[in-house]
Amino acid sequence: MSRQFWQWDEARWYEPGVDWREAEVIAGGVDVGSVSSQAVVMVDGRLYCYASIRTGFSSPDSALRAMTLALEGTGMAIEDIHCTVGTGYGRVNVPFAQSTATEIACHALGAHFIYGPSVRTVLDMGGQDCKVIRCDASGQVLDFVLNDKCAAGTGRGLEVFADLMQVPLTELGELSLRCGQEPPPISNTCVVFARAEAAALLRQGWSREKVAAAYCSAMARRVAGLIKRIGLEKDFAITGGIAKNPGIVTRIEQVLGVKALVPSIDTQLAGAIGAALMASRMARG
Amino acid sequence: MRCAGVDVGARYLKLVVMNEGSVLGRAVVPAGYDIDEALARAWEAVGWSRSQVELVVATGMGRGQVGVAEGFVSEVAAAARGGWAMVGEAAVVVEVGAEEARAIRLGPGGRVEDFVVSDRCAAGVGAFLEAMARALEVGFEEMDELSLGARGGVELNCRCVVFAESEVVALIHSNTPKAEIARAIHEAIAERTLVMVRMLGCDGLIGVGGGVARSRGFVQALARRAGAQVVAAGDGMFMGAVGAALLGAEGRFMRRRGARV
Repeated sequence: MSRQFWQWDEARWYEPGVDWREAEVIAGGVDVGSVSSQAVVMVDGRLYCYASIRTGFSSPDSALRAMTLALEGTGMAIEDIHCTVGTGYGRVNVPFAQSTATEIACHALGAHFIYGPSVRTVLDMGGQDCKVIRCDASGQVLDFVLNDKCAAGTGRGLEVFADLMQVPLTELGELSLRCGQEPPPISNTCVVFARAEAAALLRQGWSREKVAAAYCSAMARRVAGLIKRIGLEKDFAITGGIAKNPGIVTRIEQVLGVKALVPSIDTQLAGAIGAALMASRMARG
Repeated sequence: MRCAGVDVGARYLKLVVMNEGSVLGRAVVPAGYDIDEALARAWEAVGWSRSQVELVVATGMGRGQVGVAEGFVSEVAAAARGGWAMVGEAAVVVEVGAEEARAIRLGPGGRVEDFVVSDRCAAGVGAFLEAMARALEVGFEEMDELSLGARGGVELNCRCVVFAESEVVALIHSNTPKAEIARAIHEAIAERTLVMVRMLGCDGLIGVGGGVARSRGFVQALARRAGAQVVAAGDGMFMGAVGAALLGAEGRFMRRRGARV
């Protein structure tokens, strides 16, 4: 089988030093997104374990598979979790969750956890949507804007582009930063047309570094437009899978003239962490 | 006066030769990367040569590359004139091409009153059908057959081509009949077209052209949703080329600088 350049690795992690059997509150959060699903467990307010997988055709199966993978080797069973909250587009299909929350609220809380209370503007770049959330010092949502109609500026769009370029998705950003002088951005908004434009540039002899830079730059401008609609207040943070792409993050920072906070935890977990924080509150009553 | 119209679209180059309002010949060839070469093949296929034609008027996104043209007309002007000639009683002319779509409200005498263009998003154009046919693993004709035999009731939630592709794959995996998916695809592109028509605020007869108008599934979906009569022009793909030729004969075009006429 030919190599699938759009694919990214599934991930899991747990903290072996924590004895969850002694814990007061064990809370689960599951974020079933359109492209990826994450499950996290928090023990007394601390991140204990997580898993990140590709969403399959069935949301309940994806939710279950993500949580099972997260719990692997921990000795914990799903029944040991006191409360679980589901979020993401498949949130109503998390069979073992007691409640659901919107991904807007969860991403704000998750960003608050990952980046600290100074965050006021969160850009979440997900698989099939892109949102900008303004929040207060406690992680409560004040306002937001959302693009969920168009693949331009989303992870799925980037996957399509990685496939065209025959470059692994996770290496695309680094590649784009080796372009030398910054080329003009790809002019087409639509991913379908931008793909054709990029193919034409490659045929004209542009290097892959240069074409990748032109695409990353176009994506950065696209999301910067969304941010400007709601206004940018510092500190600024990015969540979601695309926050791991330095080619896009650097260019967003350039367009906006603002540095994004540097994450200490996998940014794809923000939604699930937010859901788990809500579950913690519910478990405490 | 023998006049030729060339419409250079994103996928195909269309050439018509006309005389006194009637079509003498027409040809369609893939536009490719070399427009001169495509045009040469089109002349050969149409059965007339450049020297037998008094005037060549070009339109379409690649009109600037037609070196032999004496002049140009915009895609909107060409579609309006061609649509008026092909579907005389149309109140709105819709042209859906491979990468662009436009809806034009016609006034008395076929005058352009207002228009809406979609050229930034692939959702309402032929590129959408191409991607969906690929996802469904059928050709355009088979997709039409399937769509016309479907009962209806399945709808695509995603507007974006990229997202809709995943949605179609998910529908296949959930054992939705191919025919129902095909119909949902035609309904989706028809809805994008109607959004443009509604923006023009007109409920008269809709004349449809452009390459996508060859899809009977699309035309039928359009008729079902429109709440107005829909008439597909017989050779709707040539709407722009016919319009360019007619506008040429009427002297209503922009002359190319240094053209020989």
